[in-house]
Formats: sequence, structure tokens, C-alpha cells
Amino acid sequence: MNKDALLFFMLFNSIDFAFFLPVVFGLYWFIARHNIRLQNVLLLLASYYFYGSWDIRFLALLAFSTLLDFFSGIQIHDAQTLIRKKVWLTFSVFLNVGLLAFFKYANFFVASFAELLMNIGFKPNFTLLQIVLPIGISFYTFHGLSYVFDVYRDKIKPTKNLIDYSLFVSFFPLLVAGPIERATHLLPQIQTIRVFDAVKFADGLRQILWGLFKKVIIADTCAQYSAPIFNQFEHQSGGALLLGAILFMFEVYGDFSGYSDIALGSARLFGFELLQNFSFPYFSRSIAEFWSRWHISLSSWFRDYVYIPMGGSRVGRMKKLRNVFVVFLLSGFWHGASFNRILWGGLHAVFMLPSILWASSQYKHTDIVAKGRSLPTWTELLQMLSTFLLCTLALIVFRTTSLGDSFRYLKAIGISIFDARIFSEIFVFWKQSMGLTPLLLIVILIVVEWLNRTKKYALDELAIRVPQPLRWLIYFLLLGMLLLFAQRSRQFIYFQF
Amino acid sequence: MIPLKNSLIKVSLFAGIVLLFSVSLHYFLDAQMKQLRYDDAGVWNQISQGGIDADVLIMGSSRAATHIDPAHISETANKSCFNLGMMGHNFYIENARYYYYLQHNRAPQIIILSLDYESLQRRSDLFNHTQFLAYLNDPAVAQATRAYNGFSKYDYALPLLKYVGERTLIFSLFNNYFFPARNKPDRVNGFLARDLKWNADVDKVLDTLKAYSVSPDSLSLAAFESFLKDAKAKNIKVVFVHSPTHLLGQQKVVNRKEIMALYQKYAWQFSIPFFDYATDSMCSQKSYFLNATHLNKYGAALFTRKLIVDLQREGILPWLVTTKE
Repeated sequence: MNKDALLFFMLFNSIDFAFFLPVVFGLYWFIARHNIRLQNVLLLLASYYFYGSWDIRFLALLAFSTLLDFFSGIQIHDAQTLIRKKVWLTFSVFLNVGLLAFFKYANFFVASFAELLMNIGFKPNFTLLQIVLPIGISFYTFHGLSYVFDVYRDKIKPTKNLIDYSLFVSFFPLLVAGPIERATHLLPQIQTIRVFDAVKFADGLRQILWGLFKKVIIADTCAQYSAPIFNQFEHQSGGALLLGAILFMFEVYGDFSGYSDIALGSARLFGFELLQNFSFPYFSRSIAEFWSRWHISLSSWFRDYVYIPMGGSRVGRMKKLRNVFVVFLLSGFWHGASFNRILWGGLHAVFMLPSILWASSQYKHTDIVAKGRSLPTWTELLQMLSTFLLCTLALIVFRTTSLGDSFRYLKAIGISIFDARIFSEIFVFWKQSMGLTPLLLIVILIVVEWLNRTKKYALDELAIRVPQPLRWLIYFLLLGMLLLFAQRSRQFIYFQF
Repeated sequence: MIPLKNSLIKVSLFAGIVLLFSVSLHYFLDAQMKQLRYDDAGVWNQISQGGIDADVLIMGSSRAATHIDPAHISETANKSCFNLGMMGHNFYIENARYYYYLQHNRAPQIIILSLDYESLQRRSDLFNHTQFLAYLNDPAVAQATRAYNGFSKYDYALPLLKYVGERTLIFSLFNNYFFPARNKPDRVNGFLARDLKWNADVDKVLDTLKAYSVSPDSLSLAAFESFLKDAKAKNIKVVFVHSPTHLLGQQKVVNRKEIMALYQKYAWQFSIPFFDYATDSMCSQKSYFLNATHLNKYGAALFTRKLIVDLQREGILPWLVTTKE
């Protein structure tokens, strides 16, 4: 195998995946449809092939992580005393977090420590390690951790079937970028024979198509314009910088929610229902609502395994405040080993303050915005816009490469707003550098998602709502757009986490 | 089993329609690509249609395409001449175009090979990759383009895939189909005269451009040697030309003397005349250039005349018509 082959990875938006998926599908439903063991072995082999196509060496790491939690789960369950249970849990958590810390955070800690020593007058001589971040490590580590936590809390009995457990950790649709599954949700599905369901099959294909639209058309088109703005932000007007940040908002949403749609759709083809990861987050009326709609599987993971064990919201105001900050700072750190990501998490915690300090109902939006109506009220519109803008500001910190850059980026926007020239700058930049295409695509996305905001995803239940000829026309239209807008070799942003 | 069978029939029907449409569109777009009369794609089309059969062939990069006017050579030497210069590329792929030319046209008597400092340093990306779209099924073109970071293995094999994301091109091809008058050639016998002047932006770019070194790569060197041997075997007279580069541009290439020495070595080895204009008086006058490496229309006209005289003086081109200085 040559070096290029090692660097190759089967992306969901690649032709390789377009070949891989039908082959696995065919083998699964034609050869293994009557035998659950064969179904699971086949999916496991496919998943290991999928992961190994990136770098075969890291299969060993995946296998180690799987074995660790599989045996820890059994030991925790079989332990006769609470202390023994705790020892096994600690052992598993320590190794899981240790692996994650080594591969993802070692250089960050070394560099930060060196910087600290320099600031107090020492001249440290550290060399950073040449560490390759294994794709998906944050996701499959969290899968494993959720399993051992749930076994420890007696929420689930550990499986004694290594194939089933391995498939739970490494099922290819969710392996590299989630959703972060729970054993309580996915393991029972793995342990039950799957029967082909034509409705699920069609729905899976539809969700894959919608995911491709969001990734290939929305995210990649926005990236084309936002990347140069962020990369050379010193030379841009405040208006252009705000526009770049807004485009990045749509890029990151299209990228990650598109990935999740493809993952959910692919899993459905094999008879699995994965956790919903996105639920129209840009129609949120508060930051609290946003986090109940954005990367839901991660938010709920932190809620169940960090926030609630710390007391959750059933504690005093100050402790609740502490819990929220801990969760968001950890979430930021999970997204990347940098102070920018930590600050991004911290900003979201600050934005959550109103809902914590004034536990008013106006911050608790559990229903769907403008339900039963075509348009939102002015208040709802303002709430959605302000939530979107707050997320945009935080995302600038997320996207820039240092805190200094974040500050300069935000300052330039602030000056333009203060001088009341922000709108003219946006208009000038748009006219000179962008044209109508990205605006049109974003409008299409917003309109389609708004009209379908009560569904699981925008094309959900299309078979019920739209007659077949029109449905097929929509599919052809989407494929036509893919032909026109797809770009060569675009990565998914969330792979880096 | 019945639901699975029914679902697969539906999906196959859908996929069949998509495939039929894709294949049809693929052939339509390829056909339209082969009708293009402008850009480097237009030159490929001229070559593939055959009948050029030039006595004198000019090879090289954009500097060849914009510096040496074949019309002047035809007029003064009474020899048919064509310019194969390729925008933004280096010898490795220019060589592929030359061999594609030989498949469809008679071999030339003389090749004027325009050498730049970067000629033997293959770029990694496939610049202006759309020019190759209609010819990816040609083995020579396929082999050459595979050496670049451009097309995937599927682009060569599957219908329509190579056009994915090329919306500007697709729209322009449809535009040309419905409005053929808009499909106008921008070059004459492969030569592109650029009526542009050196401006303040060029100075700005030069100020920010750091000096750099050129490293010839093994693939380019091998192709270059093979080309020279083949030309010698076919009794084709090869002439090396290093056309004017403005002094400000020359200074940016740190190891330019080494590169020129390398060309000189090949010139001696294969007994090839080498005309180096690096010290020509043109190189200090911005009025002849549009940027540090490219002559404008006026510079190109003057340089072509100079080159013709030098070639005539060396007996490479005949003295049929006196050139006006």
C-alpha cells in the first residue's frame, strides 16, 4: 500500500462511498437477511474496512478501545462490591480519556505549559510530538464511555457478544462523526434481526440525498466564500467579515447536519434508527433552545454524563451556573485542543446566563416555533435573529486560529457597526465578490427547512405529502444541483474532532 | 422479499433514468467541448481536427503562446507555423500535447521550444483542467493528466462525473450551442496577443513575491530527454529559446543560472541551438511587458521579429522576405 492510499479516506460525499454502500447493502439483504449473526458480522467487517480505508494502523486503536469497554462493562456488571465496580469504571474512564488526551490534546498541553514557563521567565526546550489524530476518536471514545457509564448505573446489562458490542462502537455510518449513540438505544437494535422495510429504505435514500444537498451544495459553496475571508481577514472590511461569519454558520450547519443526515439515512437502509442529531437549530429562539436542536447527541451526552451527575438544575443557582459552565467549557474542549474552542464553549455558557439566572418561560422553548402558522411573529423573528447572531459571534472565536485573531476580527466588525457602515460594506462585498448564487442557495435551504420544521428532516414524509412524479422531479432537481455545484475533494469539518 | 424486490425495481428504474440522462448529457457536453474555439480547449480542438501540418511548431507555456507569433514566421520564412503554447503549464504536459498533435498532424521540420525557468518543474495541480475534458479518453492525455492532482480515477471511467461542479463551463457550453456566434476564437494559430500594459498592481505583486528556487523534477527531466531523443531520431530540428523575462522577474528566481546551465547542457548534448534573450535590451523596459514574465502584444511582435532574424542568421529559417526592424 502506498502513502497516497494510506491518506485516502472514504468520505460520504465520495464516489468510493457510492460504490461501497450498495455493495454492503446487497450483501446484507441478499446473503445475510435471515441470520442476525451474519448481518452483524457483515456490518462489522464493512465498518472496519470503511475505517481502515483511512489508515489501517488505527484499526488497532479502535479494536483496543472496543475491547477495553467490552470487558470493563462485563467486569463492572459482575463486580460484587461497589468499590470493585468503581475501580473498573475508573480504569475504563482513565484509559479512554487517556487515549483521547494523548492523541488529541498532548501537544496542546505541552505547548501551553511551555508558553506558561516562558511567560514566567523560563526558557523551556520542548519538542511537540508528531501525532496523527485518529479520525473519529472523540466519537467512538464517547460511545464507549456512555456504555460503561450506563452499565455502571444499571441502565443496561452488558452484552457478552463481542461482535454486537464492536458493531455498536464502530457501525460505519456513525463511526467517524457521530451521532454519538447510546447503548440503550442502539444495542437492542443490533441484537434484533432486521427485516427489510421498503418505507424505511426509501426514507433512508431521501435523507441521504438531502444530506448531500446540505453538504455538497450549501456547505461547500459557503466554504468557497467564507474561507478566503477568514484566511485574510486583516484585509477585509467589517461588513465582509460579518458576512464571512454568517456564511461560515451555514457552512458548518450544512456540513455537519448534512453528514448526520447521510449517516442516519445510510443506517436506515440497514434497518437501524440512529439518534436525531439536528432539529432545525437556526430556528431557535434562545441559546438554550439552540442547544436542544444542535448536535443533539453530544449535548445530551454531556447532559446525562456530566451535567446531571453534578446536580444538573436541581441545585442552587450558583451551582447550576457552575454546572453549565463546566459542560460548555468541556464541550468546547471536546471540539478541539485550543483556547479558541474553550472560549467558544465559554461564550455559549455566558449566552445561557439569562435562562439560568431568570428561569423565565421566555427562554424555555420546547415547542416548534410558529407551530400551526406559516410565519413567525415579530417577537419570534427577533428572537431567532438574535440567537443566530449570538451563535455567529461565538463561531468567529471557534473559526479563527488564535484569541488575538478572534479579538481583531470581532473588533473590525464592531467598528463597522459603530460607524454605521456595516450594511454598505456587506452590500459592496456581496456585489463585488460573491454574486447571487450563495444567497439563493441559502434562501432555498431556509425556506425548505422552515416549511418542514415539524419533521425530522426537510424531506421527511415526502412520500405521504407529494405524489410520485413530483417527488421524482424533486430528486432529479437535487441531483442536477449536485452536478452543478459539487466540488472536488471537500472534507467534512467535524472529522477534525 | 417482495418489498425488497419492488424497492429495487423502483430504484433501478430511477437509476436507469439518471444513467440515461447522464450518458446523454456527457456526450452532448463532450461534443460541445470539441466545438470550442477559444481558450486552450480551442487549441486542443484545432489539433484534434488535424490539417495543421505545420512546418514549424512552437512549444512551451503561456510565454510561448503569447510571445511568438506564428503568422510572422509564416510570412517571413514561407513556412507554415503553429503555436502549441499552453497557459500555466510546464514541459511535462506540453510534451503530451505535442504527441497528441503528432497523432493527428504531420511531424514538423522545426520545433521552437520556449524554455522558462520553471519548464522542468511540474506543478502539482492540473491548471485549467477543463481544457482536457473532451480528451480524457485519449491514452496520451489520460497518462499525462494522471500525473497531476486534477481528475480522479472515476472521471476517466464514469459518464458525466468529470463535469461535476463545472457549472460555469456547462452554462457556457449550452450558451454556445444556442448562440454559436458567441463561440469566437481568441487565438490565431495558437498565438494569443495580449493588449495589456504593465500597471501598478504588477509592481505590488512583485513587491510581495518572495525570491524562490526552481527544482526540476524527475518526471519532467525524463520526458524532456525522451522528447529530445525522439526529435533527433525523427530528424526534427529543435531550437531552444528563452524569451525575454523582465529583469525584475529574473531576479525572483534564485537559481536561474543553474537552470540555464541545465538547458545549456542539454543543448550541447543534443547539438541544439540555444537562443537566450535574458540579457536582451527588452528585458529592462516595462513597456514591452504586461507583467514580469509575459510580453504584451507590442513586446511579442518585436520579439518575434528578433527571433526570426536570429533563426535566419543561423540558417534555421530561410531568408525569403526581409524583416522590418
